[in-house]
Amino acid sequence: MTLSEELILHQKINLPYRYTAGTVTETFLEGLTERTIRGTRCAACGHFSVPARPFCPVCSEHTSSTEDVEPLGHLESWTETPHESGSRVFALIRIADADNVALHLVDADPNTLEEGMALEPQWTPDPEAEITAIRAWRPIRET
Amino acid sequence: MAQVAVIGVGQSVHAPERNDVAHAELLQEAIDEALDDAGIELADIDNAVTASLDFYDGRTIANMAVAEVVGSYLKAESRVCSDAIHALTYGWSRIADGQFRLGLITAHCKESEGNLHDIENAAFDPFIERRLDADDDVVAGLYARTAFAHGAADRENAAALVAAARASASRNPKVAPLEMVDTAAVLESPVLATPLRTLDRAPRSDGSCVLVIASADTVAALDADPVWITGAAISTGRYWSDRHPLDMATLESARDEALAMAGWSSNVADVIEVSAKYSFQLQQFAAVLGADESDAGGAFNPSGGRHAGNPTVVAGLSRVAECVEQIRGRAGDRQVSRAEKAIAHGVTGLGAQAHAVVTMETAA
Ligand SMILES: [Zn+2]
Repeated sequence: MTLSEELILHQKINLPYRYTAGTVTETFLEGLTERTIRGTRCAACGHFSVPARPFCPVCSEHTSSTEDVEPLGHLESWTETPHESGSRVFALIRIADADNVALHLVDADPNTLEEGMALEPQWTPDPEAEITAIRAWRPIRET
Repeated sequence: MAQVAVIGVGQSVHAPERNDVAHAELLQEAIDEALDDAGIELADIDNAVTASLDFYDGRTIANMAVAEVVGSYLKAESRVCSDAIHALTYGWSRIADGQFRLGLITAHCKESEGNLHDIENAAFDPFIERRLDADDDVVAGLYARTAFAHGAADRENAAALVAAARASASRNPKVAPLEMVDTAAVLESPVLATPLRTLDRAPRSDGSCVLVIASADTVAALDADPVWITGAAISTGRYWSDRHPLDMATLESARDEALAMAGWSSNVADVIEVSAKYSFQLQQFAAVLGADESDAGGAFNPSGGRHAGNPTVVAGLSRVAECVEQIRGRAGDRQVSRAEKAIAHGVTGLGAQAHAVVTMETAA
């Protein structure tokens, strides 16, 4: 069969959703509007997660009470990917003294990045209750 | 526990775009071949476990779109949304349980039909990570940088495995021809997500794979050519961002359980077929499974593995099918000598979240 005989139908499924954040994620996202980052510490095993989350990834305990953390990150890994804007640098960032890491973007020349480097959040001018309230993280310049 | 054997295998030709067939037709190619191999009719099957992913198929309940060719009406059909090696472990347990005797395990996927970035992005949690517009390549890049920096994988050796896989593909009639490359060509291919290049990711593929599995009494009644499943285990790890890139506990858990079931020490397999979407993972997984990288294309992934061109969902089950053909001595130009014991591996999920390991042997 030649290509000209192959019939390809082009369609698009439009599926809008409204995702309920739930109590703990809501507390985290609302915190961002005040430029505050929140985590959850598991009462059963002590695991500390940032961002805050409703269940402990280690022991499955419900983690309902959040605490504000220092807005300081450390770079665990990064990757530069091509993008229509040129490129983007995604990173895994350990925020405060969390036991887990968080995905976000880094605003820096990837060639200057080093594992363990200290990072600070760059907030948008009028932060909304979305992770994009933090535009990106950037290395803290030594003074 | 009843003994379970694979008595029929079938694979479509896997190619970047199978525009000549729709999903059900693509799957039928493998079903026809597997039934013929087993010497049975579709109506003889008493249950089926199918594997597919709705987002790739572009419709919900995508298993019902292949129900006719699977022949599952009025039968116990069940479905997994994962690599089909999970469907095999499910179908295996049904027969091992004694409830069923002759099962069909099916896998199909056309990676060519949807937008892979959008499909992969939909797998991230919708509250935090999805908004950042990441995909599988981003996770792979983040993991690979750590793996290379800490010696869990090697940049040049990972590229060499891609070159070896493509060379093996030329001996595998079930995959479309791929351009032959050397290590330098992999390292010089366009950036995917640093430190990975586009050739580090398994090529886009459309394809299907099917197994017929049977209980021991059915094997005897059919006078079939069995390869016995002596161990089968699955293990699911934590979400990708809760798991360290070097943490192989999930795969180790599946390996240990399968090998214990088979009664093997770790290194007795004559053939090991490892599934990985990215080159550096192939190194990491091979090390855990006891495959020797220097045997790539020989005892380690004689088929070429996923980098020879098998789609998601199908890739792990294809590893099982290749092991069965090796043990039966029917692997053609890719046949390894004295293949009596084999390990097949499959993986699914963001950052390789869930692994499955299956051991196969000539005798139960
Ligand atoms: Zn806990």
